[in-house]
Amino acid sequence: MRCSYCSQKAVAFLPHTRKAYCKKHFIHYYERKVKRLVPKILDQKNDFVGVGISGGKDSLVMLHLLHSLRFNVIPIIVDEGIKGYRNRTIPYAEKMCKHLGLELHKVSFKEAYGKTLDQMVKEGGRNACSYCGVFRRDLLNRKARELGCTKLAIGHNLDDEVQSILMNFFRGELNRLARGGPVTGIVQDKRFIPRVKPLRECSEKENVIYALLKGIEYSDIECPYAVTAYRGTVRDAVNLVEAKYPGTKLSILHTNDKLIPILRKNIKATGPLDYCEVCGEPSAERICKACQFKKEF
Amino acid sequence: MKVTLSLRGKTREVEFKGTALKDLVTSQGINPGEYVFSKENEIILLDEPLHEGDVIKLIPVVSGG
Repeated sequence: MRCSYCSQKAVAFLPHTRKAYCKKHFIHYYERKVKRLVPKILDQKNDFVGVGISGGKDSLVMLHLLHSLRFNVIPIIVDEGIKGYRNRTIPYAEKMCKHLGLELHKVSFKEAYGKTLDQMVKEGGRNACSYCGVFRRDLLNRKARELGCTKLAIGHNLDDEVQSILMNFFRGELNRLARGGPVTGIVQDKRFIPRVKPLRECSEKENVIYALLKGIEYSDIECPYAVTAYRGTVRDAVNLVEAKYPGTKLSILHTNDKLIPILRKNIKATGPLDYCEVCGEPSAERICKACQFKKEF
Repeated sequence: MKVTLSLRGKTREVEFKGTALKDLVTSQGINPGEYVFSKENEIILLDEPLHEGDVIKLIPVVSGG
């Protein structure tokens, strides 16, 4: 197959654009997409951007791009304590940071909460993704705030975003739906660092292709806890529709973005962001999820 | 045709009928949406002609964050 823009050999065919891309034109297509979104969510002059990285493709591509766009970036990595997994992905994050001349800030569940994720799962009884999601968010927010970050960039891709949107929709979680979008959070609060998702319009496959073409080395090890059964079901369903009707994922994302202002307007009326009575962190509830979970182990 | 499939450092030799990557993918029941394929460190698409002895690397699209 040949590139739709020149005669070079194609390295990607994207059904939703109905075009084939050579290396040069794929990189152009991909970077243009990210560059169009980034100024809407980050201010190059004034933002100090904490970048949550894991050693996987999405977060390392994101760090590479934000650094190349000359943002002030501070990489942060969370060691959840997953035996045989995180210790194998961290070296990729360290290597990338060394290459870019950036200091990597490490935090861990063990140091922050006294237990590894493996121990939490064993003693607490919830599935790993429930603990991981809540504690990662809590820890990244605390560390980003401690480092003086004004935004926290996370490597959610189009697939992650669409799965989350549909899961929230299916479960009727309107609050969560309202908090989502390119910049998270309904209300502003100095203790809550808004999260931004520079790669939310890029599919997992596009991220892999970009990483390969740019020579970005990443860990492709799958988390042993992998994806929850429910997310997996949603992922398979969306992929099935996308395969038959290319562009569905982007359409879901953009429809959701149009709904968010309407949802936020209504949900805001229920009250401002509160603080956890136990730890003082921003929380939508009287006691934050992290403190609720900590009682379980 | 006999080729070698490589996934996360593990390899296996497979035999299939056909001449292109899409024939290999179909014969092995591989979902093309779940992988990027490469040969000699170059990304290849489904219409890529394959040859006896080629080593095809499967790069998973989904990996845990």
